[in-house]
Amino acid sequence: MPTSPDSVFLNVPYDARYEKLYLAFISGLCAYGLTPRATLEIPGGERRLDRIFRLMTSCRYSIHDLSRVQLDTRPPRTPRFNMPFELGLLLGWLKTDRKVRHTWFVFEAEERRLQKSLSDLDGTDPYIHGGRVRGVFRQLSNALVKSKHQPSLPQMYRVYSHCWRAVPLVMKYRGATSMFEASVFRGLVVVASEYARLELSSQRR
Amino acid sequence: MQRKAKVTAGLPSAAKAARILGVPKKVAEDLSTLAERSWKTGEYNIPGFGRLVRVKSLACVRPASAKRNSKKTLAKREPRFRFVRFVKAS
Repeated sequence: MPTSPDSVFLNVPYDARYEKLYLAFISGLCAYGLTPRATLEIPGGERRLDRIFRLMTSCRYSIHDLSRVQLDTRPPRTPRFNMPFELGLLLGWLKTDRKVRHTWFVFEAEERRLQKSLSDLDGTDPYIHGGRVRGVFRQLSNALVKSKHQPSLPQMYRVYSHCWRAVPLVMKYRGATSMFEASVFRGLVVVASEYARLELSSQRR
Repeated sequence: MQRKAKVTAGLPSAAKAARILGVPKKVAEDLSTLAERSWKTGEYNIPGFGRLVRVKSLACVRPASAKRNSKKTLAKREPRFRFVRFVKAS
């Protein structure tokens, strides 16, 4: 699959407690002119892992949020291994294929927790968002500091708050019951890109 | 190794995002219209489908019963919305 220069692979947890941060990542990335991609776009099937790998390697950037290390409240109580597993998969690919141009970022909610939960990543500075929407925007602007245009934090927040209000309508329109469905994800990216375009074009005038 | 990313992406575009994600043209147009209208007017609606209306949440006091004391519920600060489908003109 050819690499898409403006696509970002979003490796984040999909649960109700993460809804706001999930939307913050979508809004923030769209404000930078990037297109988020996620594993929830991939339909189930035997070759799911292959498709995850293909999607991940087709993106120019990837964001891995390793903040969900707690045990799930539903029985059987287990932590989520998908995010660190997908990061490992990506790092394995980058180690074996040195010609690849791919930039990855690790996000966490708490300072110094990554050193304990995933000490193999020592020497990598995670971006600490503190579990807050504003924290996500602040750290995105740190991670993407060399980007062509720099949306300000209030601009990203305006895009986010419009998207947050539009969520129930987008869900109804796509016939979905959760924000973490492929059709809603795609709809939200389109809506967020449009809000970002309107926000940035109103600034230029 | 993590590097500072040099992002060369242009301005955000809903059409580009829809193309990359494989969103049907009609859906992308409807969602773009939703974004554009809500940006200008503050009303969230999709033409021919439905709209969101603001739900007023008032403060109330639930009367006491034999088993429990009265309970006071404060009005919610965050605005809440519910969906209303457009009625087709016959």
